[in-house]
Amino acid sequence: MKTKRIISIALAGVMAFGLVPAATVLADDKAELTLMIDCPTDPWREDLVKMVQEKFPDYKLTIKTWDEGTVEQTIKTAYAADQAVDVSVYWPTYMKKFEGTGIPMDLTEYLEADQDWKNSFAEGSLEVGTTQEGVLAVPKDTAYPIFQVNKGIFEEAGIEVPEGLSWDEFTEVCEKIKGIGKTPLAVQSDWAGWFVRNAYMQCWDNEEELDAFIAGEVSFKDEKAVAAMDKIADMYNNDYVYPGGKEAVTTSPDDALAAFVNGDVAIYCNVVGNAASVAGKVGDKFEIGVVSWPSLAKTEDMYKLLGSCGGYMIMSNTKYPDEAVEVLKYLTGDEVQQMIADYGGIVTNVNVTSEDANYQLYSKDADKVYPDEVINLSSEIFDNIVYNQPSNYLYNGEAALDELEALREAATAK
Amino acid sequence: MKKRHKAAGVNRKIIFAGFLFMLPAFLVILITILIPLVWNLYLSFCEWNGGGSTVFIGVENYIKSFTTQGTRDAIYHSIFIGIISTLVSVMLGVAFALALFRIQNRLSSVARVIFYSPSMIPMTVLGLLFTFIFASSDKGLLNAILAATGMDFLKHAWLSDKSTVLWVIAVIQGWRSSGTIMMLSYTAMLNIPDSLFESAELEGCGFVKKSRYIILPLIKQTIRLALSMTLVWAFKTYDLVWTMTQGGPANMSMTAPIMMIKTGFSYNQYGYAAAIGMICTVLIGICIIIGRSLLRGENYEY
Repeated sequence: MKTKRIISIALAGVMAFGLVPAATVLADDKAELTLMIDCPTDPWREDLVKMVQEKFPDYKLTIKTWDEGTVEQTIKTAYAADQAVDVSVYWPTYMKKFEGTGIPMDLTEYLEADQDWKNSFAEGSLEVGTTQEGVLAVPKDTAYPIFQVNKGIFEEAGIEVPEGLSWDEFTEVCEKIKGIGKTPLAVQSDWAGWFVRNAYMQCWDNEEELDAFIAGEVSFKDEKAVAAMDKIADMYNNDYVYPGGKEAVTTSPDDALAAFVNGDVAIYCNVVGNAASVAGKVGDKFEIGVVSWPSLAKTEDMYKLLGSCGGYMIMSNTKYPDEAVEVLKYLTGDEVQQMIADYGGIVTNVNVTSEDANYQLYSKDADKVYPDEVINLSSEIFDNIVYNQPSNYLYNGEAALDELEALREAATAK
Repeated sequence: MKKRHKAAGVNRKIIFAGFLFMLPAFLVILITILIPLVWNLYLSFCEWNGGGSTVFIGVENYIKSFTTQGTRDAIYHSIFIGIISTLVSVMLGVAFALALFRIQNRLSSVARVIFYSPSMIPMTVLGLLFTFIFASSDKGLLNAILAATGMDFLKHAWLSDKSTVLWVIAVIQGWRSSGTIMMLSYTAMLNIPDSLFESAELEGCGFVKKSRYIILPLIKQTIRLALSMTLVWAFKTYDLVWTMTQGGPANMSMTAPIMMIKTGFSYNQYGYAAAIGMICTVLIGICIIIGRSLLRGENYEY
């Protein structure tokens, strides 16, 4: 019995002793950062992750994949569970959605303390992520939609590739392309809402009307807004969009891209940052042209585009704010931004240069991006327009607008 | 007298030991089910944006749930998927189990693995797989097969048509669960005494009659259990729908779980999301009661 006791005491001692090295490891307070910066659609994703890992060997980094559809949920869920995504890709344009939640960290102090960093951002770009609560996100690149076109198909249809198109011209082009047995346009399901968002900015007579609409003072059933929606619905109903019919609203990204790369489709709806990547996939198969998004605007000054700065935010519950800011500075610094520009991304760092001949072409409409949209009225309206339009309107007609109206009234009542 | 005291002491000790053994399980259930359930119930009567304090608003969230078309549709879609997929899984599962029971040789173990394999595939993988199969373009496998076999008239936008999208999801969900139902039913069939089958054979019964008059009545309890399980699984369908359609297009495949997650985590309306959850819980309960009562019958002991 006595022997057993001695053995058990000895074992307990060994176990306790075994905890010492573990405690030492825990005491070695290496900064542990979770970075949600790996965007699957970015052609530079692998380089970016590698550069960050090599730059910060002393930090314990967990790189997470960023997903456009679930990023907001991920951030909010993490915050509710008191866990931090220390640095996450997010749109500075939409930081209003986080106002009052306490989730984003105010970066004002850090920017003021490092004027070189602050001055590296393009003029006015920091304001996009600034709300009443401070600078809640910093920009990294500009994103807005463009058309990439197959010059061969255009030539075959007897169309000269234009710089831009009015909606009527766009319709004519689509008819001519259909005439030679090709599908005019491919747009992936997640981006179909771009047509609606651009239409909701361009259909007004002047900026006052536009701003009133964005502020929720004008109905979604206003005749100008309805007329714009009808034009988009016609585009689907006339089989201009791959693979044809209403079903085209569910086209997957792979299907849309494959249709363009294989030469089945004449126009590919893309975001500027991915233009170079798509051109690379097309290779020598055909020559690509860049055309501005078709305009519904009655006057040139009302040609506004949706768009945003892609950017980064830091969650306020991070345990390592200084280290997270260091990572943020690197991500928005010259080295990383130059690498992104080399891939064709339109970055916001003023110190970056590019020798790519198309670089200027990709950024030709950057000044048309309007800083606000009606989707910012509420999360519900954002979700409805960004992810459920134009499909809701195509399938449900006026009921879809009733739904939007109810959401607008609820948002403005708040 | 002393003996009785001693016996009572032993009983108390056994009961106490029983409680001790149950304690870990009870704690897990308390923390993971009971407390969240009570919290969810409380939350459903409140307005809460995920931060700050909760504001009691009575039954407003419930009224909103019943009066909002989108929420009503989502709940209806969940019920539809739940019922259809349960029927598919139970019918397929029992049919597979009967087939296995019939062959009962080396082939049956191979067939068992094949029939059970859908249950082993992660739901997201399954969703992606079937997205490729049911894609509306000519690249969709099913449409390509129909075109290749001269049945172009049957080509369809399976996942973009209101009349087909819920059926497709429900059938896939049912097929996926059928493996588990098959295993449960097959195990129950193996427990039926051989003497019953021998008597039936002496009476000249074939396999169909044996199935109808012996097997199915005797495994009814297992089927009832399977029905409850699959109904709950199917009603909670989230990952399959999310991978295949994300609730679209035009919310035509939006289910209650997706609606709840969107309402809570995208719209910051946690109280409203909790109310939808409570309504779904009650509806699942009602469906289970109805399903089980339909299969009610005599319990046979053997």
